[in-house]
Amino acid sequence: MSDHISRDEWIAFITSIDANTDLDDLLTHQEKADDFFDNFSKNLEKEIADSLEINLEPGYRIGKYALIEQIGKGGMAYVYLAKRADNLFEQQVAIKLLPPHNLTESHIVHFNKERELLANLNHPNIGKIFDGGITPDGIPYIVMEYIEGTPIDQYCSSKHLSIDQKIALIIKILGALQHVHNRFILHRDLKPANILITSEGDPKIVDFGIGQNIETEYSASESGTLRYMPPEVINQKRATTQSDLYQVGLILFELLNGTSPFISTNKDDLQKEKVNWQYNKPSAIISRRLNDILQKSLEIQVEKRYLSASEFAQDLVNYQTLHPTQASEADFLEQTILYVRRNKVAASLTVIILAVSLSSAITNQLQIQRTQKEKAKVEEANKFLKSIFLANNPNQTQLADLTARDLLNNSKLEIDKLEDTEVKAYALTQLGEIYSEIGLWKETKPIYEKALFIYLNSSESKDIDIANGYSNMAGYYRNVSQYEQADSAIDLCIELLKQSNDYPVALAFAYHTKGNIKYSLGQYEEGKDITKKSINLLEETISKGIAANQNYTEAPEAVLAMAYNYHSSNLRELSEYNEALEYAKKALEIGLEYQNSNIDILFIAQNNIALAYERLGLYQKQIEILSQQLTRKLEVYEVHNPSLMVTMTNLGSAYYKIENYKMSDSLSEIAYQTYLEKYGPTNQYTVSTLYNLGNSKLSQDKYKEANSYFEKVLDADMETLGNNHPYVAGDYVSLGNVQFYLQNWKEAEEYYQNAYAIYSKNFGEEHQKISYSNWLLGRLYWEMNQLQKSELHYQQAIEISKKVLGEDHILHKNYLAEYDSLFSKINQ
Amino acid sequence: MISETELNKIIERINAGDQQALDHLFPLVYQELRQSAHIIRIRFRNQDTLNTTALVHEAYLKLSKADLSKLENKAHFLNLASKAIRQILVNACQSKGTQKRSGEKVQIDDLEEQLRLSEESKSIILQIQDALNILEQKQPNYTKIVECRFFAGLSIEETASVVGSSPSTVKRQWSMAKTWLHQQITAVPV
Repeated sequence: MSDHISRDEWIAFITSIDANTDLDDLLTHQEKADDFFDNFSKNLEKEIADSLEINLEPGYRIGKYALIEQIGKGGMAYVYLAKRADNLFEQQVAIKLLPPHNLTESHIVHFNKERELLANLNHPNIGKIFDGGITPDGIPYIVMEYIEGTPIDQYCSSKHLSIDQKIALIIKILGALQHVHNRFILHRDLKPANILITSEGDPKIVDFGIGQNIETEYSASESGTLRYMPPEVINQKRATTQSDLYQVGLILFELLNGTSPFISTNKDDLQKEKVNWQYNKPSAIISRRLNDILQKSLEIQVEKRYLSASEFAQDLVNYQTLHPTQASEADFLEQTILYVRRNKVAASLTVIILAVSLSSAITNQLQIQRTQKEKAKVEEANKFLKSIFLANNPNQTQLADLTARDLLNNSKLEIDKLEDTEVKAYALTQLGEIYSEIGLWKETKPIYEKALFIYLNSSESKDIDIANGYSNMAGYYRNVSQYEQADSAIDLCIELLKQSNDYPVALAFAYHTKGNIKYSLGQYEEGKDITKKSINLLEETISKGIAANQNYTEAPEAVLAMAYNYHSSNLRELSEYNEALEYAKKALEIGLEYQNSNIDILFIAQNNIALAYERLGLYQKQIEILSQQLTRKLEVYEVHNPSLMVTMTNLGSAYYKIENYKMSDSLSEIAYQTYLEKYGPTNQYTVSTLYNLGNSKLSQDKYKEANSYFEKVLDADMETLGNNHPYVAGDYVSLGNVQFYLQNWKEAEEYYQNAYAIYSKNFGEEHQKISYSNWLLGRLYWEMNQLQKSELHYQQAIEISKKVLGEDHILHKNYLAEYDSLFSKINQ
Repeated sequence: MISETELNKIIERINAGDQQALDHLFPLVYQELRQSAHIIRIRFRNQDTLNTTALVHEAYLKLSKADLSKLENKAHFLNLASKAIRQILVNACQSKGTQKRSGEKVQIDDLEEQLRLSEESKSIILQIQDALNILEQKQPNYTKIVECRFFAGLSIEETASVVGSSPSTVKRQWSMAKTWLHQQITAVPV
């Protein structure tokens, strides 16, 4: 039978209902009826669907809040705008609800877990969680910060942001993401709609709706938007932190290029395109270096992408600040060019803060794993975190520094919350070490003090913990140039460790620390003795094959290398240059071996070698090794790193020795400004560079400038080192030299005599400094026409220098030659 | 509530061809549909259409796994379900004051309570209901087709299985029923 309805059929139908019906009238309804029912069914369907969605009325109370309106609706959750119901104060919040259709056990568990995880997030660029709970109807909810913002893509285009401004936003987002990842949470659905920019221009990451614990198995059907989905997720592989980074890379790509890199319009094609899409066509709009960064972040292979959000952010910062980026693998030439350029722009750089809250991760870990047995694991984890924080990208120092400062209060507060005192002290020590390693020495004091206080007052503390506390305090005092206090603290440490044979490496470490402190105090004999003690103990320990107690010290070889280094320093100051050189070379050997775990050993050894060469008058060799060091440090550190500055300072003074003042001055100037800013006017680093600058100006006959530098140096040295330190003597010499060249003989004489007195007090009569002081006086009295005095001093200079420097030493030869030329005529 | 043995007996009679016995199952299907609003929300939230068809099929899935597992012919269920949906929609249109006051407990299960149809839709459904009441007495088969096609949104084939005729007959009869209904509800009241 066909679909056609015959007239007979109509008649049969209609008469069965009502015989009086007019068939022709009825037939006029046939077509209209089809349309009517089609439309009505559609409307009805929509009305049914709408009414089956949860629809909470304005005023509906959830906790302290009353709903205002629905502002978002997703498969997993609904979001409402709400305000405080008690009107106590104006506060608008967003309330996220698990909708009734998701009220299954697994959804509730997931939702509560998410609430718990998000509660741990506290970052200015992440929407905050205020509260959470379950409504009387059994609906779980989360109360969140309400963010009135514009999606990042709309914001960038409407505000016509520059490339740099866009990058700055992405850097902040990456900082927030690192914070998230540190807590083992992934976002999984980063896209412009989930990154809102507030009216103040701050980005806020929102909607962790599918953010899951990293450990949770990934399910493709529940994850985010296909357009931003990373290839591994499309391939049903587990999402990782790098998956989030891919999404950020894609957002950055779109912000910079104004368009998506994908061309497919339907779902299946887009999936295929995305899985095979390799970023390889550099965009003409953006520079090669930026393209390289995008390429790295958008690699198909997860392992080729950035390791972490901070690493990604760091490369963007490097790009902006004209530092070499990881993505571009800058060669030396490029590094050098960038180095020169960035110093010109350094002053105008925006300071960017990357918040990497490391300490709270440590604390959380400790809270989770309390038992002693687990502590070793925790410490391993912490070392790992520390290594990520510090070593992974040494260029990060400056950023980490700012971050650390910012987070100091938070971290301390978090640690204060800890109840277990031992764990608390441990966490404090860890925190202190991190601050110390990034050069935030002042900040370490209260932290170390508190830790030590806890250890001293706890019956459960072990000697090694207390000793470690003393050692840290000593380290702090040394770093801030308070050497007497440092010496007392390290003595307490040594006393304690000597009571048993359990910690030979820790004891040796304390010995070499003391040796270094003695060196700083100018007490080189004591320094030499105690560093030798350290060396003997370590060589013995290593030969016995005793491993270090890993929790408390580094590898014994690394400690030994530092003992060699400090020993070398003391020897040098005692004019034992060849031995100094020998020990420095031993340290260098170990330093090369350990450069991946502790590059400082290598750098300090290079310094000691360079200084020994300097004293031996081998300036070209000195410049050679310092240049090598500078090259390596430029690879490893950012420009403000104090260690990099040390090399600059030293190289500056080496150039000064060979009378290349232009090189010398520019290197010293950079170093001085950096130190001054970072450590203040009395810090040894600041003062040393100032001293070098003074010397350089002097050599260029710029007496006024030189004099003002030296006066500052003298003030600082007397303040931090006391009136009888050899450095103070050196300052008097310098000031005397200025007066000498100005032909103010009396003033010069006074300065020189002061210096002489200090040197002889410190070193006795057989020391290079004594021969030098004699030469200065000899030269001065010649000019003052006091020839007898002059000759006497010259002769002493020559005699002592022959003894301590040797006949071949350039200084000795100079003294001799000068004496001959001056006095040969007279004596004839 | 029907006991399990009672239920099994009813289903046995239905399976044996006793159409009368079907009526005994109506409360069960009606109750299930009424209370399964949340089910269609779960299963069909990602679909474009969240409609009564989905509800019917979902209810069948659930009932056929438990209570109606012994029912041999799905058509029997669809028959009851389409009637139940009609009842639910009509009830939803007739009920008054179901609007919840703020802060009151949200009923999430009861479909009749949940449906919030526009006044226009309510009026049309009630007019259709009046017309169907007339049609039911003269042409119960046509009414069944309207229940299946319009209320439950079943396909021509499913409807054909319920009424036991060919798809093309269902098509023609559905067309005639629609036409008549349209005439009834657009007629100027005398």
